[in-house]
Amino acid sequence: MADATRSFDRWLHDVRNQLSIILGFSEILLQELEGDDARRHDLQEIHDAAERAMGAMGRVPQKEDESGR
Amino acid sequence: MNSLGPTLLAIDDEPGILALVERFARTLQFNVVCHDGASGVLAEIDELRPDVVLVDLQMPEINGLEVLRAIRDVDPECAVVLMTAHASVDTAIEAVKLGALDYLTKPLDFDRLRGLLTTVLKGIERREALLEIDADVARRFEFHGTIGRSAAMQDLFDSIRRLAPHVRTLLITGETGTGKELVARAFQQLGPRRQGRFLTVNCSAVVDALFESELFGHQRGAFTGATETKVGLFEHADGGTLFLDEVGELPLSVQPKLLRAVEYGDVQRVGSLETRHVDVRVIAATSRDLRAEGAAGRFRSDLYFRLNVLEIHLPPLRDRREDIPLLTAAFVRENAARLQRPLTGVTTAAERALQESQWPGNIRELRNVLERACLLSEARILGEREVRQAMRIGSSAAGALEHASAATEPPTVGDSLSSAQRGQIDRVLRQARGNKTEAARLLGISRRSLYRWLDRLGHAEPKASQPGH
Ligand SMILES: Nc1ncnc2c1ncn2[C@@H]1O[C@H](COP(=O)(O)OP(=O)(O)OP(=O)(O)O)[C@@H](O)[C@H]1O
Ligand SMILES: [Mg+2]
Repeated sequence: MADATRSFDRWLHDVRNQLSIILGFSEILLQELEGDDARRHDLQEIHDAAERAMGAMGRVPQKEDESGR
Repeated sequence: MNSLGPTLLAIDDEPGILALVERFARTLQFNVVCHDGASGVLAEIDELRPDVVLVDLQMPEINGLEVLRAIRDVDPECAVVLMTAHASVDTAIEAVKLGALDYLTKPLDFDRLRGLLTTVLKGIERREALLEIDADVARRFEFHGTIGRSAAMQDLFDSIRRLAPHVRTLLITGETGTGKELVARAFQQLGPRRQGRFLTVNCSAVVDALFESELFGHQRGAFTGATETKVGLFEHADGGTLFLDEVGELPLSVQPKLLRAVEYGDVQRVGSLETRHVDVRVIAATSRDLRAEGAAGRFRSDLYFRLNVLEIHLPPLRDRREDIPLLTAAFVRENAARLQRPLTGVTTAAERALQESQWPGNIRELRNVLERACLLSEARILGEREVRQAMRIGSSAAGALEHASAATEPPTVGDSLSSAQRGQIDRVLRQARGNKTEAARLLGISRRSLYRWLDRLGHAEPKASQPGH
């Protein structure tokens, strides 16, 4: 059981890491693009999706089942 | 490494995060160095002297807190920011306790990171502005190459200014390295003899038997080996100034003749009966207590009183510590110019270390320490560590190593030398472009013990190129 928890945590950590890379780079690019750049819209979509995914990560059920209730 | 702009070191096992941090910090004019794991990173910190380190908390081989702890050990002045994808209150508290500047969760909040990095930049700018002021003040409080704003030094400059035009003889006393020779030159510059010659004789470096001929000259055939007539220093200095350094070392036998030369300007070449008249201003310097030497019968009192018509005493550096920041600023800038590196001064902590030292070798020692520290440092501002290292090489470490290497049994490879010492030697060698004589000088050890040191470090050095021991 403890092993499963640990590998789940690692997985969670890895995905958050990757998402924060997507978020970070898209933020930097959004800042650098001219206001009227046509690609701004697409980039914003990438950014928002990553943000939503990050939000979803926060809602991953946190193993209440393991706490013995 | 890079000497312009502050340096940021990023440590994370995830290459994407490194790329991101690098991309962001570059926009704030940081030089960024990335490291994808903690192994070997401590050695790198030693080399790199980063201004700020961003380190991931969870890495496979090592915990970010351990890295933080190690960095604080190596360089307490380095700002460390931890990053984590998995925040916990416990680690956050631990991180702050260990002296982390901040604790960031991923995804990175760029506004917050910008704020942190700007704080680091501002701190550096503030320090550089202060250092600039020190350098300015040093220039303003410089008196013919002698720097000092302490009351003692200001009074001394005043006396020199007033007396130099009038005084014929002067005795300068003070411990070793307090600037006696500098003051002698200032005196000459301000006196009526500024156009005349300034000749120096170091009385501790002349063989006793040759003293008289050195000072007063000799006739051809006056003694065995006197194949030519020789003009002595007094005659050479006619119309100028003769600086008798370490006059306390002067053999008793020459002292009566010196007295006559000083008092009446009468000199006689060895082997000649003819008395010549010279017009020489005599400045003598000593680190000994000539009065005590006189009482002990090692120095003639009449000569002492003749030289002592005017005595200028240079206080030891530990009695005028307020001069240390100015001297530091001046010496660091001097090295910066010589090494062509943008060194601006020392950090606050380094300055404290310099303030606390006793400086038995006075200003010369301070100057040497700073020269070594400049060579050890890769940063714009010298840190406490480089300065302490340089102070250590200068005193105990050099002594201990000198001592250790003087032992007859061959040194054991790889024993008690720390990696910091290895790094030091490597760096100094590099700075000296492999010139071992120069490297030994900078380290404050003999050439011979440098070779033993290198041996001990297992340096790949062809034995054939070593000088015979
Ligand atoms: N007030 C000062 N400002 C700047 N540099 C100084 C000052 N005093 C000494 N120095 C520097 O320190 C070093 C030692 O000075 P100096 O040779 O004049 O000392 P000294 O008293 O003659 O020492 P010693 O008795 O060992 O011969 C020199 O490099 C000199 O330029
Ligand atoms: Mg001297």
